[in-house]
Amino acid sequence: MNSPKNTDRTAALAAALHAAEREVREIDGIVPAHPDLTLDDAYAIQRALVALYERPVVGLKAALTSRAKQVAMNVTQPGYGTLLDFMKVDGTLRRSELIHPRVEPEIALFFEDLPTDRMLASDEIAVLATGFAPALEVIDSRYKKFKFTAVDVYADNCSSSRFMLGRDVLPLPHPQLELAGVVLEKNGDIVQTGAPAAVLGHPFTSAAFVLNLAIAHGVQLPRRFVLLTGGITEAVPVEVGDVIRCRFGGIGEISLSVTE
Amino acid sequence: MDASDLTRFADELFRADIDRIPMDPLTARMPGLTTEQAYAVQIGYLEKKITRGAHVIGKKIGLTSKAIRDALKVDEPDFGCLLDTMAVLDGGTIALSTLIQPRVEGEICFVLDRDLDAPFVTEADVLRSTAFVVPALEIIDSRIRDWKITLADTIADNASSGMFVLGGKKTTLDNLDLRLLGMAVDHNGQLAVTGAGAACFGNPVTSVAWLANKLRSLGIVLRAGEVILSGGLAATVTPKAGDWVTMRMQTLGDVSVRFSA
Repeated sequence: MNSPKNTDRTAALAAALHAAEREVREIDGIVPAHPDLTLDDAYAIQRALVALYERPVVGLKAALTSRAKQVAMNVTQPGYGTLLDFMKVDGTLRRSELIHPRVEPEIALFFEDLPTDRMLASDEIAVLATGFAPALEVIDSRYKKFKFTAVDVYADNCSSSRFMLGRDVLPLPHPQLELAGVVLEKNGDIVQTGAPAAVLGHPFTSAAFVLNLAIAHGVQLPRRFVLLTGGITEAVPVEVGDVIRCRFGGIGEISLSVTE
Repeated sequence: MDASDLTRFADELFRADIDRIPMDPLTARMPGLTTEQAYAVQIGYLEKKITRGAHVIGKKIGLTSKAIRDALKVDEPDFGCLLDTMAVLDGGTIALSTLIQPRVEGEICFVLDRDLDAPFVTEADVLRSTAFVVPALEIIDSRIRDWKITLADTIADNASSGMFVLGGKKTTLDNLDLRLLGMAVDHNGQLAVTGAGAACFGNPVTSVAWLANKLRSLGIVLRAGEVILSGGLAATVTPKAGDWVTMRMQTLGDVSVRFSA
């Protein structure tokens, strides 16, 4: 799999995904033309894609954390994407920079000096994380009509696009974090509700899984980083003029406005 | 359409329920069936059960999800009556053979200790008249084949009610914002769906106020002691024999039920 031919293909597919994102245009899935690609190949494309930005890594995001999505993607485990500094927004989303963005609520965990020499267990996360915050993630698949397989989406950095963190970082442990009510409004209408249990039962389970996988893959994380633990509700499409407000019971709220 | 049509529909629903054999939608035969006529059918259907020994112990509110109202093209919820014969104790077992095509959803149940008899009932009246809330599982069911219901069909069919299970922890509404309490439904120990209180008509308290006013318009008063299932908080799950379903709700606690053949 590390033959020169495959290395060339990895670089070419990463370049195509990078160009699609920079030029704000959707492309066909890569699997139909490359049916032999494995999930490992997909992560190699993701690493090459992330490197093309030449921007600092600020964290990770968990993907495919709901059973429904795993079944739809024919996988049994979640995956991860890599967050870069330019993806962080503060209250405003510029629609013209994105293809077909969708917003989903998540719990963000913050880490500092995470041990990388051993496997992490989910029951350690409350101690290892320095805190948590409510978050909105903006996903924006580079693929036409948001249609993809697991290999496609891992290569495409798991549709990572933008993210916004709540103002306050809260301490852990937080009682019944998995049952905090999450209420997502679009232009004043409640469009989604859920609870953090939607991500593999608990955000800590998702966190431990994704951290172990990324560390095993040799992903270089900064000393301090953020982890988005996975979408709590279905992702909501947004257009210019939309205002998303999300309340997290006992945790806080976030608003995001979509401009041209 | 006359009174005999309504009586006939009530008879057919009663028979479908006894025989566990679903029937065609009422509106397939009578497309003009109004909401008012459908509630009259519901009352006729329930009177047959009451004649045979059942007692009304509360109400249930349906169509509290905006997505479901949009799908049925209606702009307000509906209601049905809870009978003592529908109640199952927490952790109990329901035989699927007693139902037709059940689905399970998690809800908040209000228990009243004052009548809601104000000329117009507000959220403040509901808060003042609620002794406490408990977590609940509602097992909805439809006497209409394949759940092919319109608004009038489900109203006539007692708002598609089946059975219900109440949790054993009481919580008062003091300083509690039900909208922001999260919930999770586990199906055989695996997480199935999550939601929050706001999924029910924006606020379960508002849902109960809507019910009280709707009943007033029909000349009925919600009475102290009634239990009120305020509406589903997430998508339903479909049980099979041998399954168990649990709802866990922040602050309110949990409630579970098993299913046998």
